[in-house]
Amino acid sequence: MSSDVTTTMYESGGIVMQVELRELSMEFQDVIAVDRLNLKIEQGKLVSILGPSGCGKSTTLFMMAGIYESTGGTILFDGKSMNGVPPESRGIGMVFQNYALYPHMTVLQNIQFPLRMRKMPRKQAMERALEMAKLVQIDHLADRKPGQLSGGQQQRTAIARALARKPDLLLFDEPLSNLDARLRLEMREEIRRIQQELQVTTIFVTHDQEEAMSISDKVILMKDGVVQQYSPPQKMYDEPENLFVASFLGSPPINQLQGSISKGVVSLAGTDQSIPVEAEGQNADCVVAVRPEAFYKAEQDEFHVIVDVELVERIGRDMIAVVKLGGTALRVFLAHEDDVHAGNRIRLGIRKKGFHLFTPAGERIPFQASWFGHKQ
Amino acid sequence: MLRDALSKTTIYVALGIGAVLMLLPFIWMLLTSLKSGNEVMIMPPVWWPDDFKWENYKTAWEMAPFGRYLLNSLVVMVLSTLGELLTTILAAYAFSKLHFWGRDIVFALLLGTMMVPGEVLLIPNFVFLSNLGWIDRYEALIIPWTASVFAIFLLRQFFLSVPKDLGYAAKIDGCSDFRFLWTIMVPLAKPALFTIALLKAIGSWNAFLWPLIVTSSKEMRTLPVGLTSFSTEAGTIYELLMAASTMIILPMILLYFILQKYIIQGISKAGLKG
Repeated sequence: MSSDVTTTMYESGGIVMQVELRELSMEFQDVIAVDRLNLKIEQGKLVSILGPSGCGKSTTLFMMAGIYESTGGTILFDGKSMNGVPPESRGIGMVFQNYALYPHMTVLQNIQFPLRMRKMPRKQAMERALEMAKLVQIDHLADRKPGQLSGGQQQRTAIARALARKPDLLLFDEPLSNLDARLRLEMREEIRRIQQELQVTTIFVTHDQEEAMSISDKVILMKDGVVQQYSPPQKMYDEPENLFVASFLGSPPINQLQGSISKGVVSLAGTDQSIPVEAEGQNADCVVAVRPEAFYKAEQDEFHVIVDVELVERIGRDMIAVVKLGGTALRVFLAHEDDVHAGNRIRLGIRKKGFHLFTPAGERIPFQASWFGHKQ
Repeated sequence: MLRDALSKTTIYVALGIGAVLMLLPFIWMLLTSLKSGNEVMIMPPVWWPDDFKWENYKTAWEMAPFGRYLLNSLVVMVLSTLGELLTTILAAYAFSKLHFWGRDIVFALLLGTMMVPGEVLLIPNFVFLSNLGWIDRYEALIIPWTASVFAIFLLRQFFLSVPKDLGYAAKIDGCSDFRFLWTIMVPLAKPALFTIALLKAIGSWNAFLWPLIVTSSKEMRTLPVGLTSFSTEAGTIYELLMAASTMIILPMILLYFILQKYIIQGISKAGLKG
């Protein structure tokens, strides 16, 4: 899929890097920012590190870059420990949230800077910089200074600079958060395009789930310095390993109902309704989590819960209804043609995909339900 | 419309009054320098000389070795300004971007020295320099002035405002701390450095008390000290003093006009969001 042109343009050391973290930890004074991370990032993949602010995702990235020295554990690039290896010797390129371009240098000088620092001859550096500028489509702005560029153009310049040395590993630290919504969309497709053309291993830190889901081969979801799940994005959405993962992904967020497990059913707190589910536990509290799109308007003769419609929003092609079940408000996606209005009492069925059970502490509870497959 | 015009008029009138008040001593100096000795002393004083005595300038210049004084002043100004820029750049970088044990305490102590009035230091400094054998030499005129806590503070604040990511990016690009300072930070800090240099140059050019104390021979005197030549036991020759003063401030006014645009020039910090 990478064309001949780009392969000749981009001969990194010939190797695309594989990254492995072993028991990687970082403590700041008495705060544990990153807590014994263990994971492997395969060659040529784009992997996002996703999580709420303060979850340690940027810290992890900065440790891979060598800007922070880890307080425990090891980072391995292609099996080689990076402990004590300075940033410039790690074969990485990095793009920062605020672009970090050198304001007094032109676009071309910025892109050349890492090459000149490595004593590449002037002429060769100039050619390479122009190549990179072309790759990110800013060659027509080569002589401008960063102050004369738009946010998106500055970001492209920063990417070109990061690529100039032909790194084996490309690191992005929330690169899109300073851009407006439309540019963000454009730039994330651009990053994906460049990454796929060059087949360079890329790690992308973001707090935006949509960004992470849309461009990544795999996503690392972190919370409080601990990896919650590491899997392809769709799998993470469909099979969350815990309640945090389930609730972090998805917009509108997953619906949560308190319940308790007894023989063959989960009774929903605050109602006399229950869901026929086989799960371990007697009178054990649990959390029933259901994706908004897992609900559908059910017939009389299949399993359903009865809810009161409070509000109906039609947003373009979607219809979102806010309904009350017991005391809990749920958001559900309904079919566009469903005839539902505020004040109605309706029957909602639940599809298997998007229905989950968790313990109150957030751990996944395995279950079986007989109604699945009945009428999906 | 009317309100705009009114407020504009008020502003210009106020600025005008301020400008005249500021300029008045200079005008008085200029006019006095062209008067005859009698006109200077006349009561009530007159503003405008009857007869412009341009020869006052020639007489004043010849009354003392002003050529030598000018050379001394230039040497002291240039070297102490360069010296201060060098120490300031290095110190400000250390106090803003490097991490070492006791950094903030040392910086606080340095700031504390700004509270000590300069006059208090005259005698200890003099004794110190005389022990070094530097009295009546260029060293005494230059070296004590090659560091300024105020300048370090000013530049440090500027360096602190430069985002950390810029340093990280440079590090990844393979740039050492030292190169980062000279190829990135210093060019960025140009306006701050011009301000520091200009303040230093003016201060050095106008310095009177210190050069008076540490020099004794005519060969080592600077221009402001040279002005004392016009105060004799028979009194002060004001018209010549004013003529000499006019000649002395001219270079500073020129320097200011030349550097003005660099000082006012804003810092183009775009390219560094956040």
